[in-house]
Amino acid sequence: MNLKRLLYALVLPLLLLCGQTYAQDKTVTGRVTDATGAAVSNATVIVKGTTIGTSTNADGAFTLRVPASATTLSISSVGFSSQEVPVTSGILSVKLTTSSAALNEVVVVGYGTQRKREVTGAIVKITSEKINALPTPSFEAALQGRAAGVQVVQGSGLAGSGSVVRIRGINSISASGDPLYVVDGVPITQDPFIRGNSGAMNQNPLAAINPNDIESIEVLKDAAAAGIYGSRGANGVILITTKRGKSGKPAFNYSNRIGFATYANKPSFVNSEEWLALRQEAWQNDGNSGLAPLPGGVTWAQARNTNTDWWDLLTRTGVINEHNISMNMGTDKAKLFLSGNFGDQQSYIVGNSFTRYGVRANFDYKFSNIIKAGITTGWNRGVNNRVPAAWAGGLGDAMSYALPIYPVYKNDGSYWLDGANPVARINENIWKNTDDRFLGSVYLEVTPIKNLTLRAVTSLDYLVGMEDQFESARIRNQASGLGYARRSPNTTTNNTSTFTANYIYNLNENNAFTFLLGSEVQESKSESYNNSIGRERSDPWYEDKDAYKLFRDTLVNTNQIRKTEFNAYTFNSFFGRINYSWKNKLFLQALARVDGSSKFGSNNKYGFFPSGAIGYVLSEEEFVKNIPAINFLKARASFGLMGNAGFPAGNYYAAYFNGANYGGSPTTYYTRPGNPDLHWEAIQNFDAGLEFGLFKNRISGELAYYNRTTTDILLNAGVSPSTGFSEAFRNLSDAKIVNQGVELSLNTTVIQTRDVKWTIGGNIAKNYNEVKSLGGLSADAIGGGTNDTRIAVGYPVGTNYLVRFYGVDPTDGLPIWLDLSGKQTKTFSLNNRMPVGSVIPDYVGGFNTNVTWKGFDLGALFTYTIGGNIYDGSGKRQLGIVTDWNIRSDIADRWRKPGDIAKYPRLTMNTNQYDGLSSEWQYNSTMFLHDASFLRLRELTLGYKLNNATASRLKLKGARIFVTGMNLLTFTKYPGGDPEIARDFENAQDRNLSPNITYLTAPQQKSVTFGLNINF
Amino acid sequence: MKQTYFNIIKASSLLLLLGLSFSSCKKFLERPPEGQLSEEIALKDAAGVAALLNSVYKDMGEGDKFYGGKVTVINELLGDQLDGILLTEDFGEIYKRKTSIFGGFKNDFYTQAYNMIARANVALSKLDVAGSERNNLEGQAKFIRGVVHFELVRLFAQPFGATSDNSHPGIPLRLVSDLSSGTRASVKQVYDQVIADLKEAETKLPATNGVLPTKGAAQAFLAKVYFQMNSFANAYQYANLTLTGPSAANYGFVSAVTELDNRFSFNGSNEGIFKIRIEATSPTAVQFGPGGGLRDNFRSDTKRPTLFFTTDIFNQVNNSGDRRSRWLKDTLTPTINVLKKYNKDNFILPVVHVTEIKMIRAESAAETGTNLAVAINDLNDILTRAYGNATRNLPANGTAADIILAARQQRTIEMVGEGNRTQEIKRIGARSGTNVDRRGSNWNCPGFVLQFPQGEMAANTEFVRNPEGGCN
Repeated sequence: MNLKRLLYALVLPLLLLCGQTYAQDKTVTGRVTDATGAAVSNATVIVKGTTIGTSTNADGAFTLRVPASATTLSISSVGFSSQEVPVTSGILSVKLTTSSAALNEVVVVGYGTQRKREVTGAIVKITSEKINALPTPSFEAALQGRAAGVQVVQGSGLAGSGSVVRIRGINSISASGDPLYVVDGVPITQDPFIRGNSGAMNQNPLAAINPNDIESIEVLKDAAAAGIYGSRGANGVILITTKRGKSGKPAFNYSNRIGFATYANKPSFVNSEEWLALRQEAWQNDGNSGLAPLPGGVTWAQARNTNTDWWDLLTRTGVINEHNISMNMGTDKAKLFLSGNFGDQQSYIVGNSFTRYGVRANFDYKFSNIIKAGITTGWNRGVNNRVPAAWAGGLGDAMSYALPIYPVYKNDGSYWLDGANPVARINENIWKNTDDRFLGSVYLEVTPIKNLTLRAVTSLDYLVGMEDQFESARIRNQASGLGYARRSPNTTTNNTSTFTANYIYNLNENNAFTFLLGSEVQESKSESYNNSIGRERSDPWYEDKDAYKLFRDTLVNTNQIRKTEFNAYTFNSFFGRINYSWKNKLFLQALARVDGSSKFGSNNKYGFFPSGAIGYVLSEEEFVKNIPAINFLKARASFGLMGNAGFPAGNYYAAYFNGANYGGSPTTYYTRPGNPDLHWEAIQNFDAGLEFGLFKNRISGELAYYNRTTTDILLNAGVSPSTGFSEAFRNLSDAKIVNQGVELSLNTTVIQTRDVKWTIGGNIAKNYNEVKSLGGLSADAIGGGTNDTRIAVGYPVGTNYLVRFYGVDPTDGLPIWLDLSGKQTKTFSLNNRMPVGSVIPDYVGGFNTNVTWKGFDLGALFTYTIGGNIYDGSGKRQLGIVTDWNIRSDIADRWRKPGDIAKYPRLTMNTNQYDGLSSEWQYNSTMFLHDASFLRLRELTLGYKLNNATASRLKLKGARIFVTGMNLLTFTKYPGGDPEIARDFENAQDRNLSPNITYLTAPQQKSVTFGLNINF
Repeated sequence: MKQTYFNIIKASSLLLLLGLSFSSCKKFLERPPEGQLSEEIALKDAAGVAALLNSVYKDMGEGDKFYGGKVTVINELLGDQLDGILLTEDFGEIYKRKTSIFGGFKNDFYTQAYNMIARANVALSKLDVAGSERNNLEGQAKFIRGVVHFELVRLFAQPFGATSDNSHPGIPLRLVSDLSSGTRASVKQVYDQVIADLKEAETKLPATNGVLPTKGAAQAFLAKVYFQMNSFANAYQYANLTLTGPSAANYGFVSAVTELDNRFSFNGSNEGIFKIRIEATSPTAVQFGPGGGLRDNFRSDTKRPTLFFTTDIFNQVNNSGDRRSRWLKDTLTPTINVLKKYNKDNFILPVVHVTEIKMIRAESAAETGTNLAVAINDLNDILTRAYGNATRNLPANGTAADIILAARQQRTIEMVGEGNRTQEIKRIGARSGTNVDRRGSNWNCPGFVLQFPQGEMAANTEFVRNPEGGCN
């Protein structure tokens, strides 16, 4: 039995369901090409007025069984104008013409779809192919460089790590700056802080989504597009549409990717001998004699005989191994998409991997012309074998506390544990996060009268996470001689139900309306125990789940732990949208949403978010038509109000929670003071754009301007700590943040012949961000977590707030600082901190080029940022005071003797040597502030598509093999390692203020993968 | 998966609710997370108020939040008994007596301590629901508020007696729970309030109170407070009340040498006047064990500790025949002087113990020149236990000066590693202007006082900062 038959057998029950519709009696064959005669693959061929159809193969050929009554075929493909051809006998030859900037392409908008031509908002569509081009740790990382104004900073090299995605700048301080993620119409659980910041990583719930299941991603950027999401639209919306069944016989796809990963960049550290010499130099600089004391109780003799390369011991070549299989089929009644996936991505860090398994079934069934229903279900399991990183240890230790003079083992073979030993920790700890995610929905669509569609959707997004940790007896070294096992389960349940009514009203030939009315309710809640379930054991809990359950129940029954809900919230929303089109060239849109939420205080339960937009296809007018170079030109503008409700639930009332027992009695903690006025942040958004197609559409693109003003800013800081609270949420009524910017995206076809096609495309976005006012708060009132970023009036969100370093005094090697007035001083004072840089780059973007020649394709994507700053938070320890940290090789450029002109001051082991400095932690200055600009070869892919004859011989419909390199080259002036930095964050405020602050962050992954993609 | 199906059903029923939501949405939108209780629910009765205070005792011992670590660690770092030349980061900054407005270790300590005060204040505002428990709960809340303010004022302000009228700035005094910005009360105002709170606690707390603070605990803290103020008659009175009053049946001096190992042990000792307990289903299944911060930094039998001691203090402890020398040496780490008091997986944490109160009674008696026999007896109890015999005891006719000298020596030894020394340096300095710091600093140098967290200045630009400039 061949594979295909096996698959048929597996889906047989479903085939039967659709079986009655194969009684067709005519076969049409044909070939679809472009203007040059080159084959157009994947073009959709549909019998007009039905849903019977198929798609073309790699050679542009198709075969379709059609009803005897069929007279016309409709052929469409992305980038081409649709064409209708009569059904005739013999082989049809269809030549498609390039469409006007792909304007008939359908894009997904909130609660519906629109033709690109009539869209009045700022929307970018990214196709499945782009999303799956790279083996990124999670799908959102694949958006990097693909859409103008969408900045994606990939987290780190840790397996499964998330990215910071910012659409058109950053509007908020304490409220989330993340866009809203909506999968198949359902706002999903996306909170990166479900497990807080553990092991220097924010667990990314998006990582469990299989990128191969994604058909397209639409990024909604402005009020005309995202405004329909009301209080959650302000940061933009990322709409994810999963694949669904298409008309035609069962078609299968199998793809895989196998490859290798390592780190993209690595800072350089001194070895044992050099480290000892530097320490001795510091010791003597401080006026001491004899040998410097060494940390960890290591003697000089031992130190000289040890040279441990911790980085080397903790890294490896990671193996990437992914397999996807899918099937789609459809008749005029039923359509089905099934997929299964397995993927194992090992990072380059020993012991760290992310394994994903998943299945999906999307099914649509048309009961009649009136009633249609369907289900969308996906289950994925993500198993993340975790390692601590950055400040939590692991590779972070290799860059900090794990010194080359420290051994891994003592002479007796046991671990040396008198200082950092990340090898021991990784060997002797098990840390596994298993996340199961079920994302499913059911819809019912009724068309009671022509042009009126009623649709009800109800969905469940259920996330079950289990964290297992085990510390072995060998490293724990407790008197009991036992290890320690702990488990912490949590669940997030997110239910949404939406009801929409859509009515199309064509008044006459020139005037058409579309009305949308809808309501939505959502309830989301997370649950966990108020303590992990842990005890001394000789093995992890998952080795004996019965014992775990017994122990858990004992704890529950004796009131020592209890299940608590956190971040539970509801939304109740009503929305409407009216679209008007005049002569298919003038488009007007008005929309509004009313959002009520349990997150909002009792005095402000509902918010109202309206917007209006206009689009005008100028190229329909004679004065433009006469310009031959212009094939298409559309102007659009929109203005509206959106909100940001991205703050934790339940903050409006003073809250208490019950903790575990103490002294046999219950405990209650006072968690936060309340604020009944708490509500959403308000963002006024203006957008204007020009969409164009020039020189026979060889050049197409979009130019846009936006201006966004945030008011009612949510702040969770600035509270006197002697209240017992360091934070409390409130809206700042007298504060304002402005973002404005320009975006340009361009796509050009340089060469297009029968055999060769060469395209170049790219985008660039400039964002200007300024905090206009802050209600009288000082810059020190709002900080980004543990990072040295602040909010200061007149500066961008996330301002580097540091003491200015002037240089090193050649006479004595001491650092010279500048005070607030710019006067030189040798006394370091935190009072001299001031805004000196920004974590927000001036420009971000990407450019790509793609050449196809016969079956070969070669593509490259470069991503870049220009301007902005990186603050090297680890530099102050790696290049500053000599402590028990590793030292970077750049320290070579230091003062050693009078007269030396050097970058870094004289070495010291004693902070007292630099007057005014309290500790090396506070050694924050512009000495460690760097230019953040970089250019990165994000993707380089070489592929080969089998020609039709070969594929047929192999009994395939099509096949492509490829090799892809990710992050192969990085160009940067930043000396500290990888310039793309989104470290671990404590909360949303930290995430807003502190991208581009590095602290022992694991560098990005570089990988080379080989893959195969076959259709059969 | 059962849960999943249940949720699917639930989701479907949500659809039905949709139509109803137009009329019933108000309730739907007032959904507080379960377990996150509103004040009306959490503090509706005496049990609720008791639970709120109960969480404070747990916090006092948990991790390194308060007595479980930071109170002791910060006091040890500021003192003169640690060998801290290699200390870095927040520890290095505190050890070098030059803290800044940043430093999470210190700043978190501050906020967490004030959160305990906030809970006490909320409890005090809810006494109307306490019914017959009113006195006990009020006593507990005031005990907590007094104790926490006391520990904070000792660290964030110059000591009592640093100015003649104690008008120098103390700490924010928080007597109600609200979000107002902090301003510093004078040291006198703080001590007055601490004493008022503890006296109220002494009156209202019962002699026996389960695991909760008793009348005796309030008296012991009053003794500590007055002793810190060099107010010796009062210190004597309250030390004596602690040891002879109605609560004294709950604890007592343990003359057996086992006490030296049992002060910090799984089963605790009989000397604990106020102690933080362990919550465990068995010795290997401990749900809560206080003192994590002490073990993390001092424990020396399983790893090389972060904090270890000078040879000077080792020599002071290591007298021939003194069985307490066991506290400061470990063959595992021969090159450094490590503390062994906390070398247990878990221990009950005595916040204040009989030995300390006996030493306060002895020294206070000598300072006032009365009850010298009681003082000599107290010290001889301790000396006899230390040496296993009476050879090193004070003679019955010892002078007041002899007693003071012996009391201070014994305090240094008995309390090694328990965060005692810094406040002794300050107390003795304030008493007589004598600098006893073995690192050579003046008792009132700026660095002996911690800097307030920057959050105070961020919220109130007028907040009076402590002077910078360190010590020496």
